[in-house]
Amino acid sequence: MRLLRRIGICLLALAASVGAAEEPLDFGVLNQRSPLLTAQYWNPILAYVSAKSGVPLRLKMGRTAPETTAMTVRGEFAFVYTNHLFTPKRSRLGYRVIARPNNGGIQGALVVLEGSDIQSIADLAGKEVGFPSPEAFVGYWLTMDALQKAKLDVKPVFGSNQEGTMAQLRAGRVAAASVNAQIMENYARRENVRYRTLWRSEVYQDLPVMANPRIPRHTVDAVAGALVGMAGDEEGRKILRAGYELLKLDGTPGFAAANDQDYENYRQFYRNTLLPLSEE
Amino acid sequence: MILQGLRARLPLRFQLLLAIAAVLAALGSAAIVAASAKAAREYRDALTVDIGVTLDALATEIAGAAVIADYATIEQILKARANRDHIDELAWRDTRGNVLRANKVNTTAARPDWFAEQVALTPRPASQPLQVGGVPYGTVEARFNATPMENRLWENLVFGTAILGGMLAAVFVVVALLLHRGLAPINRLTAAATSIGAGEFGVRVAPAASDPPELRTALAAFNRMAEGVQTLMRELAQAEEALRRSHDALEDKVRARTLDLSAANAALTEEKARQQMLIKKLENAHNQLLQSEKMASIGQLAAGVAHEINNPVSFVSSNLGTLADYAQALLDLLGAYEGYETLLPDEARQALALHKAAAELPYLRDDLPQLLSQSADGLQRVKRIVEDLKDFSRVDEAEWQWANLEQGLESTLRVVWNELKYKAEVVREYAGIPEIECLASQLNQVFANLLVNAAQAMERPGTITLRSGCSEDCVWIEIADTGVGIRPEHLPRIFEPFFTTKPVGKGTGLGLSLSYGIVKKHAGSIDVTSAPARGTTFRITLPIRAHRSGPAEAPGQAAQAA
Repeated sequence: MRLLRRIGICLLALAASVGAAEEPLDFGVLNQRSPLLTAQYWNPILAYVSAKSGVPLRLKMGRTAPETTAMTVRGEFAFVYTNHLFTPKRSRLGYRVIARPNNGGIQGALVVLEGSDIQSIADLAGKEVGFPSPEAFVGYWLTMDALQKAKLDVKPVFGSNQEGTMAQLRAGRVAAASVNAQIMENYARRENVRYRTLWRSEVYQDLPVMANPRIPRHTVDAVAGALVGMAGDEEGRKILRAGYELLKLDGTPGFAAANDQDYENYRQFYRNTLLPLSEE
Repeated sequence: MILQGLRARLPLRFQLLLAIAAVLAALGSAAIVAASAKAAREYRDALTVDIGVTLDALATEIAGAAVIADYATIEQILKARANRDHIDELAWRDTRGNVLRANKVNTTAARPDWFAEQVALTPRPASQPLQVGGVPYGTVEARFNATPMENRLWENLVFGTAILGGMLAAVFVVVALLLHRGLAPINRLTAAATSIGAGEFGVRVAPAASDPPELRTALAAFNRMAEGVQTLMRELAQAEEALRRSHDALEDKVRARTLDLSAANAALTEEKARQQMLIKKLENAHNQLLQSEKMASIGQLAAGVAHEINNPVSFVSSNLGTLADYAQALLDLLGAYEGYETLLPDEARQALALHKAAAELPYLRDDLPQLLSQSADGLQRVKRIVEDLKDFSRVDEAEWQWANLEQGLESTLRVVWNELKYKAEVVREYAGIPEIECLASQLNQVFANLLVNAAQAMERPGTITLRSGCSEDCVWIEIADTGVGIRPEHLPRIFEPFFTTKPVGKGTGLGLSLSYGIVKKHAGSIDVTSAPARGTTFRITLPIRAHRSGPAEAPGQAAQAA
């Protein structure tokens, strides 16, 4: 009798594992660009990783960056591409860095159109400045922190994501834009926009791919291995190049292995910022 | 045929208007149809392109929301995009089969169904898979509606037709006005031509300043022609008058000649009639002469025969009387001898008895007087026949004489008795008329003709009644039969020579004609009354004293129908 029960349990576990293998894991991506562009960039990568790792992945994201972050905090993603989890409270959620884009990192910047009268951040006092969202690290936290430290009050206008803010600047709806310096360069190149940088932060690592602590280790490793191995594989490189061309990105495409230590300056920033943290 | 009929009946103005209207209508209709067909083609192409563009745009627009499963945004997009005329429904179907759709209230079909069938714009439902970065996000679907395009095409067609109708009406009015103005001189020309046709050769058409130059030229030419016609007609009238006078003179001559010819013809006709009458009289005289000669010959023959028979008959009759006396004397003598037979010896008596038996003496004694008596009777009859022949022929009395007609009638009756005895019973109703002065043999011939005719008129046994009567200076004889009668249409002709109703060879047609002539010779009359199937009565009336008239007049005038 006991033997039969064990056999039944094993069959159920096998069925569960088979079912788990068929059901894709949600891969969250922070809203840096429009969902369409995001999907055009990430879906080929996720398809490649799914095939290489044997772990089916499915792109998922919220309508806005805060919504995506909220979904992340609620644990809806197995993996997530974000840098919103380094605040003290979210750090306790247990997400682990498993990879990062293989580039020189990112910087926050305050930019104006080339013909703008604004010459320095001091000129921004009292002006409307576009920000992607209150959750954006380089787009809001770094720049707003700098403005606060410079004792400059501006009127924030949120554009939902990086390129939304850039579009507002281009349309003249805001005097300046708080942006990811690398995304701005790519955007200006793609959209033929001329701009000037008023202020630029130190370099932070680009957004990491993080794993939900509930995902088994071997699954995480398989996914991380596939991501990191993309640049060494012809098919993977082809997909990465296509993604870079789509987003007009510079540098060598690919992912590098990474861990939580690589993002210590994020945690350091949150500990020293003048901005109030409003973590869920 | 119909077209020719219309061309023959419709005025030129209407023919021109109809022709222009037909050409414009045909060209306009062709242009409208061609434009509609071109528009339908363009609409069809545009619709095909629009289907692709719409689905591409819809997929692009939905893609972002589909990626993040933003159903509210997708519905908004669907609604926004579905709010177009030619889209009935847009839908997005995710990979699990869930559907979001947006419908639009169907456009009312203003165009008729047959028009929709003609333009054939109806598109098929279309769908397009939605993929982003190689990952399927369901499909976008669209159901398009051609009704708005069909409505527009229909409105264009109706509008174009209305414009065409308006143009036609305008062209019709303008052309009608132009034709009215242009045809006015022609109408004047027509009126003038009609007047000239009616004989008013002095009529002319005055050109008006508003007339087109071509028609002014035509009017001038017409006036010149009218002048020529007037001159020609005047000359023609003069020629006609001369011709009429000549004709009248000719007719007078012809009339005079005709009168002469008519007179000559009448004279000829009269002469011809007179000659025919003379020929007829000559023929009658000839025939009567022949008949008279024939009867005279018969009479002479009869008289000769009677004379030759008369002598032997006389001495036979005389001898027969003597023979009767002698026979009686011998019979008396024989009786005396028989008284003395008993005195004879037996042997002698026996021998005598044998002779008497052989001679059948008793029979002989009875029969002999009878034979003689019968022979005497026969001789008497022969003598009477001879007398009758003599009476009939009267050769010896060919001159006018006094004679008793009842006796003549009787003797004639005996002569023709063989013709009558089996057909008719003869009834005599004699009045005992006096003798008259006449040619007795010819009157007997008349009686014989009438009696034979009466007997021949009997198809079955009947009666012939002989009547006589007299007045102060006339006697009459009637011979009436109960035969078939004479048909009324024959009555006027029965006394014509050679008229007969008897079969060919049975009658000469001269009997009654000669009888008529004989009676007329006696200055008498012969009348006939007859009724078909009841009989005929001839009545001969003669003067007692002869007037000795000439030849008979033309017969056929005394017959009377009963």
